[in-house]
Amino acid sequence: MKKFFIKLIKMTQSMFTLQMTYRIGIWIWMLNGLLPLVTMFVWINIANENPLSGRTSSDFINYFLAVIVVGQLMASPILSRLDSDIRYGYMSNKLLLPINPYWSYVSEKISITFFAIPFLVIPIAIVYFFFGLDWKMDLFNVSLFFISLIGSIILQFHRQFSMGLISFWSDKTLATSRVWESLNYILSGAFAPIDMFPLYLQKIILLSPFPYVIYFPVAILNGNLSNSEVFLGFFIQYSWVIIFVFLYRFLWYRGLKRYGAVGA
Amino acid sequence: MISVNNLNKIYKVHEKEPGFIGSVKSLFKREYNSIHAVKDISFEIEQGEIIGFIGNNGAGKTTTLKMLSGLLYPTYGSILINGNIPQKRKKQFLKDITMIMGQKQQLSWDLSAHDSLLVNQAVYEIPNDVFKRRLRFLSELLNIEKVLNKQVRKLSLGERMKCELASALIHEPSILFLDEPTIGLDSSMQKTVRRFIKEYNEKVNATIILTSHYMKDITTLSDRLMIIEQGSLIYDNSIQLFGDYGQKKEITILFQTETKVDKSNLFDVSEVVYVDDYKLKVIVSKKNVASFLATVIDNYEVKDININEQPIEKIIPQYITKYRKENDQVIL
Repeated sequence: MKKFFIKLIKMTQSMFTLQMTYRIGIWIWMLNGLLPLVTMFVWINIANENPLSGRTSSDFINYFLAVIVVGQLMASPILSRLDSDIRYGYMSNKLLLPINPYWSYVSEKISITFFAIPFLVIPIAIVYFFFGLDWKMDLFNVSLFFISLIGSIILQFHRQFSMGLISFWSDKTLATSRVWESLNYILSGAFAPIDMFPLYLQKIILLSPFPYVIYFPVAILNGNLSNSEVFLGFFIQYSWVIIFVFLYRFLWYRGLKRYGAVGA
Repeated sequence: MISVNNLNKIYKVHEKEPGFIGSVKSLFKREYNSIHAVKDISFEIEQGEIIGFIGNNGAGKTTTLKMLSGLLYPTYGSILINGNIPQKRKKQFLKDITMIMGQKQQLSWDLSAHDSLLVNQAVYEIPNDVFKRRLRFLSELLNIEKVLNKQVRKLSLGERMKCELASALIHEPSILFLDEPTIGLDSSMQKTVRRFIKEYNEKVNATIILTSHYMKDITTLSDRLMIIEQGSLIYDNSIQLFGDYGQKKEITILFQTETKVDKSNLFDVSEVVYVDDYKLKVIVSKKNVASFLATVIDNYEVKDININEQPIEKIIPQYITKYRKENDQVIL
């Protein structure tokens, strides 16, 4: 176990050194994650006169700032990396090493999360300074938030990983992922809180994996969910985690048999 | 030990007519073609052997190496390497092997070779003192001490290739798949790499399968030659014995005195490599050697005669052409 962690740390360090080389590109890419800031100002403006679905403009600030925090921690280039590794044969180098290539992508995800830190701290500091923040910060709620955040990160990572593996069969993975990302923007709660959708839609959305990437931890941090909603949410979130972990393993072992190792 | 039995690889390749209409058609009906890249190959290799694995482009060399290293799954047939099936990707198997693809960069472009080596140290679980000792050995042998800390993208091709070798061998594998390791290198660098491979083989008693288009690599390093053509193994034997397959001989005649050679008399049976007043060097079909020599001895004052087998690089195309002709005849 100790040896395994040493491997993971070394791989993450080297990925981090690599990311440092591309830091400007990565930070530009991470500006995408600040998009909810624009959405936030639109909602603040609408809710300025009268509360909207029971939300005041400061509620929207609390909500969208949490969206930015969670969204930045989700960010990873795993899907496009897998796509190019499989289609252009770069996976061969990873496959020759005596460690599952999966861990190389995990280390890349960990290293890139460090780069997200400025994009978390700066918006929080600015908003806190100008508007103040009202998150539910008691120990119990923060613990729930972290459990849901970890669930979100694992869910998003394995969802992206599973979709990336489609490249073993198709060269249209990136196009497919764009469709997913568009749906994700609306259904994950990054565009508007899910509780603002019509009730029948909410029920359907809350069974899908989308809201468990952004909305669920954000709603916990904002104190918008009852205890029973939180525990039901955990059940659905971790069920999706299990589904995607199984899905990635299934696709991985099937896909390897189709791998063409092109390019040499 | 490597044991390969009836190895086959069939690729299913999507084919599309060119242009816009072709793209639209392929949306509705995709045409696939099967390419039998490796056909029923069987062989055994003992520990410590160096195999020269050659063939034309597209003959199936790289596909075979990729199956041996576990990167590709065979369509059918079996491979056992030190008791392991490569495709199972067992940790011990992956620690035992390495693969170097001369046409493909394996080191991280933006890191220094040293950084990549440190990752390999962790991944292969090499203790610090062993790592330092091996790194010293490899960097002295390859003369790369000064470039190890430079970003790989800033290295010359030769420096990069030497760093690739160091990185691929830091875990001291006992089986090496070397796919054109000297491609693009100048002749002195090729020589360095060849010397290095030889020394590594002697030190570790490593099994090496080497593909190269530079015949010098093969003749200097290998004891055994395997030729693959259109996916089939058409020769698998000692490199010395392969000389017997040459259909022609190289003959050098030295004359006693200044001599004007009468070409019309000789050259219906030979091909001239070199001629001057004292020397004639020709290529003659084996069956015509006796009559050619008789003609020369009858007509000229000969000081010395040297008869040699043709160099291997000349014999291989003849051998492959002969195989193709025979194979075509079978098909017809």
